[in-house]
This record gives sequence, structure tokens and C-alpha cells, in this order.
Amino acid sequence: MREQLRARNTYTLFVALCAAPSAFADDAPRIETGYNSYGYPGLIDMPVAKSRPDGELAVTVSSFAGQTRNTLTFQGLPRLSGSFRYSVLDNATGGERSALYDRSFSLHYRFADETAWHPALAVGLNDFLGTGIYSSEYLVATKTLGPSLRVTGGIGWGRLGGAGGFTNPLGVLDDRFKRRPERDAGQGGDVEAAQFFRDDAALFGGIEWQATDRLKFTMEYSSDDHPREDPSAFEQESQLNFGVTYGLGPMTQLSLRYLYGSELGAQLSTALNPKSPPNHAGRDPAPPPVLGRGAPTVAALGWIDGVVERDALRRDLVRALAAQGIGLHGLSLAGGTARIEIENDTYHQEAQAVGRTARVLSRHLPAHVDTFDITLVDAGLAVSQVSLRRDDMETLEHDLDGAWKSFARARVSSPEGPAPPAPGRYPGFDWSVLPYLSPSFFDPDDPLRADAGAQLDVSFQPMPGFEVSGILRQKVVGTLDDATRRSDSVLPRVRSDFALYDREGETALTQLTGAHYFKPGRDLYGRVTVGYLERMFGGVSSELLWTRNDSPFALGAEVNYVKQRDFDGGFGFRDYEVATGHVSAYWDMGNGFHAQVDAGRYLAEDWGATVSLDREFGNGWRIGAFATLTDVPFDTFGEGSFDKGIRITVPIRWLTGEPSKTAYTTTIRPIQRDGGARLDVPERLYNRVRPRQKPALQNGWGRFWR
Amino acid sequence: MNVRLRPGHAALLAGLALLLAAGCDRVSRTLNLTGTVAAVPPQPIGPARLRVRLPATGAQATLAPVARNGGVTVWQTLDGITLSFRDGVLIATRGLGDDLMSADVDGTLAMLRGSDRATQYPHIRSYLDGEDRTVFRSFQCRREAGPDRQITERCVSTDVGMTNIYWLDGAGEITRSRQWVSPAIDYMETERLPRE
Repeated sequence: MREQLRARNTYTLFVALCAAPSAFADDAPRIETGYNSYGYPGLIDMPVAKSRPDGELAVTVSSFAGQTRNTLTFQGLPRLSGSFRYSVLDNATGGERSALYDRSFSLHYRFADETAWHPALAVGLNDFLGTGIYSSEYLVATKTLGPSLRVTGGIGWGRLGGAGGFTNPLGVLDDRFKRRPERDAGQGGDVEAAQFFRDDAALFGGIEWQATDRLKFTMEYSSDDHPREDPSAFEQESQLNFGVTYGLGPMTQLSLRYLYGSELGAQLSTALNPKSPPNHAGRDPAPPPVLGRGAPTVAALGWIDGVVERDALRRDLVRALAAQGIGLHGLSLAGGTARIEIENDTYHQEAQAVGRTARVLSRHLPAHVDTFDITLVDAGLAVSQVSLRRDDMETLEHDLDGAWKSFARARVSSPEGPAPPAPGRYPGFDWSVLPYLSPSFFDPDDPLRADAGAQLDVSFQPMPGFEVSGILRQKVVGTLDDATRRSDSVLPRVRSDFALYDREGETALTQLTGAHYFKPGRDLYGRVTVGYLERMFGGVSSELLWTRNDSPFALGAEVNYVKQRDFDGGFGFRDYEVATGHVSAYWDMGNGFHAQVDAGRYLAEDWGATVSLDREFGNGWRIGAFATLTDVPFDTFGEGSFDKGIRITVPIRWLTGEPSKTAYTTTIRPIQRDGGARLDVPERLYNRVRPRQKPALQNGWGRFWR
Repeated sequence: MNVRLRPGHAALLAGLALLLAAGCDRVSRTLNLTGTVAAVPPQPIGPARLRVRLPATGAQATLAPVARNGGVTVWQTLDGITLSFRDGVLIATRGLGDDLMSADVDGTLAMLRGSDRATQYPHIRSYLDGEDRTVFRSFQCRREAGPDRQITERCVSTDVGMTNIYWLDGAGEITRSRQWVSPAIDYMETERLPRE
């Protein structure tokens, strides 16, 4: 039964491009809001005052007149989307090369919804950082006129105020709005707020007609005057654009356009929504049923008083838990209470590991045990203890609201420390060989390079809280060593020599560390790590984290002394040494949003702070952005002015539907320089501890009975 | 500096994302990233057997009872799928993917026992959404006209409906049924096998 169902699910995966429509979809809007050539919600080149569904992550590739825009857009809030764009402009003026490579950001905010009486309204900023070739702002209104017809009109500034422009109406407020100051682009990267909504404005508009479910026709009057492209790349004969869009799949659209009276353009956009896994809530094998104490069962062992019985019981539990992908760390029985410590390496939601453990306990423990104290342990750190009544397991297993009732009846607390480990747990040894993929973006010589190879992970735990681990990478194929650009950084080259590491480190020991984890207090967690911490640095790292089990705030401090490693990924070091460290504040803002501030000294001896904001989905997807400002002047930093980027974490479990904690994370920076570079310490404490704390348990408790 | 433009790479980003998304299942399977939790073989507690078919996929299996708890019997396949029935009415599935997490079937059971035929009765069930949150769906059900031994139940929610059919024996026990599970699984057909 299972095998056949799996085959079907794989098929679904391929057809739907990983995008399963939500199980109980509401009626979709008749007119599909598309992505424009800049990759944000729009017509052809112009915006619309609509948004895509919350959470959607889209890739748009649009090309015309020798210009290709690749845009990644995330609908981070129902009303707000952010885009990151990498464009290649052939024959554009202003670039010192034959092709211009440009990275830009956009924000699109819908501030009013459409009603019967007024249109939807949105405002947007394009390319507000950096060199600003797409620099523009707009205010746009969209009104639906029937089941298949929609009109849009708006006013644009900057590039969108170029064609048919008139004196800025905002000039009545202040004369400053009449002039758009020249961008002091410098190294790029400044927020050019002084330019917003300045200079001439122009009107734009368009009509969308959804002819069938899959086919849409669009016509627009564009106010984009293409200052860099006309006439070097193409002749702009008209401001009218015509487009047709065909839905290749539920989340994939192909568009063809006739643009500016002279050019043909094509666009492909595809999207997925982390909220809708292709395999629904996952294909985990069924958990063992709860066994009621009244039931006639082979597992009822009777009273346990002898050492022999205890050992037999422990061995049974180890076996039964291992079958569920859960490790037994410690076990003690006292009176009516069984205290058990588990290590979950399998389930994304710790609550699911707790639920399965409790089911196993109900099948194996003697009838007089009426309380299960299940402690979640990681690297010897006992993070949370969940206390469950056995009666509740028996009565709520088939209850309609069993998940919430069982959480409400459970007690979650923070234990002082772990109990003595079960015999046989230590020493522990683990290894795995997995593939790795290491991409590199935006080198003008070749904007996308990657290496792929095999990675050997080894871990050895001699006793609770101690871990020796190593990662050895062997490149198999890849183009990273094609990079010929060398760092021109005037700062200590703590990161910008990455191409040398790629070239010389085909076989690289990316990590070899000894770490000690400990709990100095009930809400305190500590870590000391010594060794080759990351690919580029080795040394000593120590961290202390304060986090209460029920508080959205946490504080941490980290102090490191490190030395730069040789390029070849071996055991040698270079001359550069630095003391670096940060004080960190963490805030779980609710609804999956997480903010973090890290202030301190970075690798190039610069002082400053990093602000990051992430949206974490319940299934483990994480999409966020960060920016670091330090005392390095923008001119000294070099291109980009300061360190910033976006990061995306994709849980493997989301793709496969099988229980797994493995996730793939990638960080995309417009450019990697040396300022604001933070040490990449393996296994920082916050992300180890937080998934096992009460708020995370509560959010994942739906899987308790899964 | 002489720079060659390679438009092929421009589309590569999108292509890579697409390939990753579409191909990951296959990749991870060959790399043995999946299947970390093996199905536990059933330990039957009785001789009864249940034959179940999923018409949407053609999948079928024979299940044995593995637990009984407060009027609910849990049946399990050889490969680790469990189905829970309260007096023959489905209240939960595990291991199917788009699983039914729980259901309140008191109204259906009362209807099957022959209470007033004309009344509507509520039916509530829960699922997990893509972010592991519990989602409740509420239905209104009523018995459709038909023979006493083959009872048809029609339930509607705001955007989905289901039509379940129960075949009863002389003692009022469900011997066969066709019951809706979830949008992705669709219907399930069950049949009690004669005891051997």
C-alpha cells in the first residue's frame, strides 16, 4: 500500500513543481496577478496594486533587448514583498564593460485593499541601494471591472517618471521634490532616501484581461524611458507594450511581449509556497498505538524490582525508540514516575519525538507507572522536560482535540541538568557521507559557479556534553576554481580570498573541533569549541546563552580568538590573528518572525552590529535578510559599501515528506567583502536550544499524535 | 577588461531552482537521505482482518487489529500504515501522507443506530496543514434516502463535500464502507474479511 502511494506522491512532485495547492483551497481569484519583468507583482514593465499569496517565493527570468533580469521575490507579509534582482544589460551605457551587471532590491507594499468603491493601492521602491540604474518609485491603483477585466493606473518617479514626465506634483509640498539629487553612488549600497519621489513624475497604466484560466492578455502604457538602454541597446518607438501570459502549471507562467514598438521579450516565472509542501504534512510511518493498561498485551512486564528486569526493560526501550528514530540518553524509574531522556535526530518537530516516545513508553512500562517525564537532550544539554500523565495518553489518543488537550495537560519545564546517561550511550560515534553543493554567485566573469562533491562528517562523543567532530570535503566537479578575480580589498582579507580557498582546497578539512557543552544554570547554556572552526579560521570560541523556556527574548555573548587558515584546507595557518566576539539579542516576535542583533568586533577588527530578520515557517523553511554596519567607511569597504544579504533554508523533509532534520541553507550576498564578516562557528547555541523549548514545542504540538 | 556575456547562465538560476525542486525527491532517495524511520511490523491482537482499497491510486492492503482503546480499534498494514475506526467509522489515519488526524463521529454513529432520519448532525475532523498546525473542518451531514442495510451519508463543508456509504449486517455492524479521508487521499473502501 505504502509503496504505491509513494509512487503517486513522487509523480505529484514532478508535475506540480513542488507546489501543492493547499488542501482545502479557497476559490482562487479569477484574475491571476503575475510578476512583471522586474519580478514584482505587475503588468509587463509596470506594477499593479496587488500581491501574490503570503509566503510565496518566486523566481522570474525576463529578457528583452539584450537585457536579462533574474529576480527572486518573497511575499514576506500578506501586503509586503521584497525582491532581489541580478541583471545583465548588454550594450547599456554607463558600464565600463560591454555588459553591465547589476544587483538591485525592490519593495512592494499594498496599503489598501480593493473594495466595491475604491481600488487597491500600493507603493513601491526600486533599486534604493547601490548604483541605482533601476532607481524608481511608484504609487499605483488597481480596480477590478468584472470577472476577467482589471485596470491599473499609477504615477512613477525616477526611471518610472521618465517618459511623458511632468513637474512633480509633490512640488506643492516642498520645492525639494522638484529635483532628484544625483546619486553619490560611490561604492553603491547606501540607501538613497534623498532621491525618493523626487524630480519629474509620469503616469502609467494598463489593462489585464484573463481570457481563460490559463491565458491572460495584458496591455500597458509604460512610463519607463530606459535612460541606459535607449538608444545604445534598442530604439524606443512607443510607450505601449502588449503581452500574453500562459500558465504552464499552477505556479509557472510563460509570457511573450511586444515592447516599445520595437522589441520582443520573453519571461518565465515559477514559484513555490513554503506553506504548501508537495507531500502535505509528510509521509511518516504510523506511530505505534498507545496501549491501555487494561488491555491484554505482551508488553506488560509487571513489577520491576530487579537489576536484570531493569536492564531488559532498558534494552527493550532502546530498541523500540531506535525504531522510531529516537535515541535513549537516560532512564530512571522512581515510584510512579518514569524519567526518560531522549535525543531526537529524526523529527523536525521535537513534539513529534515526545509523542512517539510517550507511545512507546505506554507499551513497555509496567502498569503502576503513571507519569512520563520526557527530557529533550542535545549534546548533553537537557533543554526541556515534558511531563505527561499516562492517563492522558490513553484517553486523548483518539480525541478530536487530542493535540491541544494533551499540550494543555502537559507540563513543560527547564531541568537543571541531565541525569546520569544510560549505560552504552557513551562513547558514541557517528559518521555519514553526503553530497554537498557549494554555489558562488555574481562574479561578473561568470555569475553562477558551483562545486559539488562528497562530504564526510564524523562525530565522536566520549561523554555527555563533549563532542569531537570533523568535516572533510572532496570536490568532484565544479567551476569555482575558474575564478580569476583576486581580492582588491584594503582591509585584512578575512573573506575576500575565498577564490583562493576554492582553488587550493579541493580536498579540505572544513571543520575539526572539540567542543564542550554545559549548563551553568537552569536557563544558562555554555559552549567552548577549540580547533579548525571553519574553512578560513581556526582557534578558540566560547559562548554563553541565557534563554528562559517560556520567554521570547534571549541574550548571548561570544568571545573568540582565531587565526586565519591556509588556503589549502590543511592544518597550517597564515599570519593573521584576531580577537572577535559579539553580544547577541534574540527576539521571537511571534507568527514565525525572528529578529536578532549581534554587536561586537568582526574578523577584520572592525566594530559594528548585524541586524537580521527571518521568517520561519512551521515546517522549517526560513527566509530572511541581514545587514551589517561597522566602523569601516563605505569607501574602504569597497563595492557594496557594507555587508548584507539574504538567506534561505530549505528543509529536506519539505521536499521528500519523510521525517528528517536535514536542511539546506544558502546565503546570497550581492558581494562578499571583508568588512562586517563574522566568524562562522559551528553549532551556535541559540538554534540548538530554541527548537526544544516550550514555544517551539507548542507550535509543533500538532505532530504530537503523528 | 574583456567580458563575455553568457546568457545561458542567466536562465540557469531559475533552472537550478526548478531542478532542485523537481528532482530532490529522486536525488535524496538515491542518496539514502530518506526512510530514517522504518515501519514497525504489526503485532495483531485478534484474528479479524480488514481489506482496504484506495480507489484514487488503486492501492490496497489487508490490515490486522493492533490496539483497542475506548471503543476505537487501530488496524495496521504490514508496511506501517494505521487506520483507526470507532465502531467501523473512520476517525484517523497515519502514514498515508495527507492524514486524517482525528474526527468526531458521534453524529454518524447515532444515525447508523437509527435515530431520527431527517435531522442534520455535525461532523468535525482535523488535519495538519503545511506548517504542522492543526486545522479543523466542520461538516453538516444527513442521511440520504436508501435501503436500511446500505446507508448513505452526505456531508458538506464550505468548500468540500463527501458522500460516505456504510453496508450493515443484520446486527447493525458495518461490514463494508466507502469513507472519505482527505483531499489528497480521497475515498477509502473497507471490507471486513470473514474470519478464517
